[in-house]
Amino acid sequence: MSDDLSSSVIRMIRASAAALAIACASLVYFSNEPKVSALSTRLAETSTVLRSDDIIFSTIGRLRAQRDFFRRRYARMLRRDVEGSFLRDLDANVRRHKTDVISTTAQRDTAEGFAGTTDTGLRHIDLTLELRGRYRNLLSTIANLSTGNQIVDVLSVSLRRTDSGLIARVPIRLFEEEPAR
Amino acid sequence: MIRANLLPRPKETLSFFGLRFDSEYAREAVAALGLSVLVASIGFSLETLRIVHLEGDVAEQERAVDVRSIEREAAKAVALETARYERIDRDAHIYRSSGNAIAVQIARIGNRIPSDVRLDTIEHAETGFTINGDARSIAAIGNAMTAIAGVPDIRRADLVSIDADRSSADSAAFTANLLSSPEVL
Repeated sequence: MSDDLSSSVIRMIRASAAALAIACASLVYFSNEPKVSALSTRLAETSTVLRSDDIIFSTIGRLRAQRDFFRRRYARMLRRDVEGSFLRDLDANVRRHKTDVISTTAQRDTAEGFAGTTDTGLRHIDLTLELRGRYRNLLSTIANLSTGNQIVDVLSVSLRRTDSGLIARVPIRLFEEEPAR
Repeated sequence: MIRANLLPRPKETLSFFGLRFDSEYAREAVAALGLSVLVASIGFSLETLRIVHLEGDVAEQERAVDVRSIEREAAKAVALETARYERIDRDAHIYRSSGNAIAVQIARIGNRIPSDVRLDTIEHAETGFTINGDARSIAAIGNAMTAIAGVPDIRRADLVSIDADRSSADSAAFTANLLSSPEVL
């Protein structure tokens, strides 16, 4: 009877010891887990940054070439004196198609002298042209307005017959590069 | 004659704070505590090693990230600038055809107008065009409307008004709205 009791107590002590050991191990593990988790997350993040760097750096040469190509293409078309350049081209255009420029009116809503800015960072100047000429010649002039050395958007066209001839009213938008700050 | 004491040995006891414990139980309890401490120590050491190893890896990678930061910023600037130019290029292609597109639309309308109808104005509006003109008869205006309705870019030609009550009795003025096809707008 006494031996049974003794062995039961010892079994109980050993079970308690095992439970205590598991509890201690768990305590150590779970107390460190937030730190380990944070470190693992950081490690994964830096690995992602490094991998994306590798991808970007492998394509940067192609991107630079593409950017330089666009820069060269648009350096002339988006230069600061776009208005003067457009007027010179317009003069050649109307001479070629035997039409007359009756008036040009610029809309400048900002203090810096342009009408607004596009979402691509280009400034635009809005001009309204009034041209006079024969129907066919006016249409040829209008068709050539947007194909010159500037980026020109022909917004609309109104043709009106008057005593002095056929008059076209053409609102256009000229784009120029915003100067670097 | 051999004499043997067959009685069980009396149990050794330990006394703590006036309480008496069987020494065998005490040994078991101490061993249990020792085992727990050992397990906790091994666990702690392994965890510390793991953390130190991770911290080392993180520090090494962060150094690599920092070393590339200038190059990365430069690459980002190039990528953003290229993307901006690509958008400008797309827009520019549309703009460069805008003058020709409108001229062609007006020409298509003008070419359909019969010779006995005279157009005074063609105004480009948000939804298409508004035209004004005059003709020798209402029938001629009807023919003009039918002809304009056949222009490929025009979805609908709506007559707004005809005014035949004018000083010159042999002409009728008219106004019409021409709705452009959605893909033209």
